[in-house]
Amino acid sequence: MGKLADLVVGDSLLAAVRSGDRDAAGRLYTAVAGPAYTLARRLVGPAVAEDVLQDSMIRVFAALGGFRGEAPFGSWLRRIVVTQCLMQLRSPWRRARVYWEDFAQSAGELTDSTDPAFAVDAERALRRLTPTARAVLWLHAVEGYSHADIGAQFGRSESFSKTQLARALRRLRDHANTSAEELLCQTPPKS
Amino acid sequence: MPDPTQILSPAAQREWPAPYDYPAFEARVAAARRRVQVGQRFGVATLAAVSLAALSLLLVSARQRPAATTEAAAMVSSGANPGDSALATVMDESWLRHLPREPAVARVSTRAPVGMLQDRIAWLDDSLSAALQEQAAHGEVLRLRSERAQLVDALVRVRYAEQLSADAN
Repeated sequence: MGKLADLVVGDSLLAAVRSGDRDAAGRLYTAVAGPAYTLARRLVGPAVAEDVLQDSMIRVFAALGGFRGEAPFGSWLRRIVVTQCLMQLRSPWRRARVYWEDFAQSAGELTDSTDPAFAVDAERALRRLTPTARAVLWLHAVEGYSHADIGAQFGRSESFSKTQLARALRRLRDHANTSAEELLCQTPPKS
Repeated sequence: MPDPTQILSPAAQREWPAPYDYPAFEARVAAARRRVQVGQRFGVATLAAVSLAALSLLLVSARQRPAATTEAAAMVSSGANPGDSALATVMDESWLRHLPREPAVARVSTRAPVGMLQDRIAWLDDSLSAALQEQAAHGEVLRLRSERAQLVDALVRVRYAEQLSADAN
């Protein structure tokens, strides 16, 4: 888990990008865009994630000169992507767009999925959360952020993160109970 | 009951490819730069246009038929025949005199400024977040906050004027 943070990019490629090599920039983009988009899509949904990917990559290319390699490149990139995502969630107008996408996609993506049932169930469970609660849950449970980090990223307190996480977990438990009841109802009677 | 965080495990394994390749990324960046340049050029013009639109709407809502009706009522009370076509003409002319020159423009044009205002506010939110994270100069943060406050104020005025106009109609 946490694939973006684990991403490794060679120093020679980074040096080539710094020197203005356009081909190298294209190779770097190709190497990191998928994982960056995956994380962004988890946090803000598909269409907004396209914008986040664009803004994140602009910042990566602009700030690469200042990247000293003290932290792994993947961690550095993840911080940029998360920051861009949370900007979307902090802005009332952008947050409204994320909510609208959730509503519009709540049916299509799940019913069209070819994933195993448990994976679909995970997607459905995530869809039940508000964008903010989902982002907090994902950052804490999957990306390993601390409550203090999440609170700071949102420009809020640590307890904000704890409250959002508790709310998200409660909804997930409700969803797990509902799914179990549905399974029991679907079990055919023994003859 | 399963641990709720375990539900996330399969979702965390899922990956999506990048939605666009590097040439498309460059094209998007170029388009975004053009939009920002246009936005900066017309930032002040937008504020002025919105204020003008708000003022126009206030005038529209203030100058409706009641003024003409008052004039007509004065004529009726002075003994004029209500069935007289001259009375209708006076009423129409009086009402026309009180109309702004282009009322349709004043009504419709608020839609574009509201959208532009909201976009600009969102852009300022982004810029403010970036400025705070990058510990930009205090003056720059203040400038962004000040512009945002002005735009929100303008947005409130437009919305209020729209509401007044809707109530008047």
